Amino acid sequence: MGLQHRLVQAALSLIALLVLWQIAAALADSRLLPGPDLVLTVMARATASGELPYHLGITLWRVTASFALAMLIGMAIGILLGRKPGLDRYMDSWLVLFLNIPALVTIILAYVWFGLVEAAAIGAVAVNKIPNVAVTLREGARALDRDLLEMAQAFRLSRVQTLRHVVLPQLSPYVMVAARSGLALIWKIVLVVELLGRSDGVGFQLQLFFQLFDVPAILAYTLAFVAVVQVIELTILQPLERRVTRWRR
Amino acid sequence: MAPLAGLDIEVRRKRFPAVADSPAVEALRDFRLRVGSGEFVCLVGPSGCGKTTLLNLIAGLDEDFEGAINPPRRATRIGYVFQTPRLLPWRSVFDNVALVLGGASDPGARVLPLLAATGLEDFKAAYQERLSIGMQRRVSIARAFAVEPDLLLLDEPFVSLDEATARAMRALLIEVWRARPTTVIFVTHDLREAIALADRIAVLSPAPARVVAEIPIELPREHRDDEAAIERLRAEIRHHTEQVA
Repeated sequence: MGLQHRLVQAALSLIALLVLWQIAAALADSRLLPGPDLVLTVMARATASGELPYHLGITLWRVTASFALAMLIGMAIGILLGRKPGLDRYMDSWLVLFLNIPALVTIILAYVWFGLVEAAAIGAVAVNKIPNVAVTLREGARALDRDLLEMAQAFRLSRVQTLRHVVLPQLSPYVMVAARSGLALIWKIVLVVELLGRSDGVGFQLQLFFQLFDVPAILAYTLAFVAVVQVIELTILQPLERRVTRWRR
Repeated sequence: MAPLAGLDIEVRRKRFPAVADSPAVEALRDFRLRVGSGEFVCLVGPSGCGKTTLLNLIAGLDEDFEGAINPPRRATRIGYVFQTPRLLPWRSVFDNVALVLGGASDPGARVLPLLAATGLEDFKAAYQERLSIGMQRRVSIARAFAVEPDLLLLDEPFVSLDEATARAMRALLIEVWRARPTTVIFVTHDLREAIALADRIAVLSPAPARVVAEIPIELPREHRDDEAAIERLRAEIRHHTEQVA
């Protein structure tokens, strides 16, 4: 199936959803369920005024920062635990504990302990994601091919070379899984963080609109955000995945 | 790095501790072997007698043994051809060989002649998945020579190839080795293969392995496809080993 064909199919299915939505809005005839036409108008107006791009940009920066932090720290912990079974046995219960702490609790505690500051917001989101990344990468590090590690050792590759050319390529499927699920989780938690303790960003705006019962604006911001996340998936994550797996038949 | 003056191997004992439900295994005991500079030595012994273990000790992959290997690992540049090719599937043929050169400024100058010598120049951009097992083994040999080793270790590198391919690979190995002389330890369980390649054959006992006989092969390599001569040598070596055992 060609790319073009798939795009047409996706577009048709989206149009069908819009039509259904329009019909439902017409039947409900309420300002609490606006149709797509009204939502798009609101979105266009908020974009033109610069308000939507501003808050979207701030939220995206928070997503990026906490994503990078969570991936980096989570990968380091995961690889370490996967390679050191003794340490892993000791630390496993910590991971289980952190995996099960609700995101909301981490956020509240971060704000209580560190104040309503940017670092607390980004840190709290990262802490929510780190255990997931660590657990995924630990699986990968446990499955590393001993034969290839011995090869690297016999030919005296440096630590950096071994990590970069022997270890990380084997971990790349696990990194991709962690990145995918990480992005999906993080952009949702970032909104909560903004709602609870920031004065800008999409989450903050949503709270404002909630107080005003401004459903068209809520939907406009939501759709814009979903679209941006999709663009990131299509333009960054998927090409990256193709690149790291191009040696496969 | 000065060329290797020779290698003294003395392993008084190497044992693998018991794990889970498999008992402890003694792989080597009182193993002594001296390999001269530039010498091609074949170690012949039954499967599972500890030959791979020995190579791993020499290569420094396993340092948990009683004994000494001189000069130590750190002072020797080693090329290792493993029993399986152990290539990185995400790197091309060229990149697999170039990787072991570290940060050499012009890897092509060293890699391309080796790929030509091993008949791989048309496959330098290919990935492992597209290569036959014989070709993967050739890459593995090119990689081992690429580091310009003082000591080349080969662990049954031609096992599971059909006889015609194996013969061609042996000829190739000798050709590349003659152009780049180095000390070689070649492990095999096939006496014919050892006769075809070696300056000297060391026959090992079943585990725990030790050297039970050392037989120099004086027949020039050009005449080693002479069936009668090979049969004579085989009979002689068998006679030797049976006496000792």
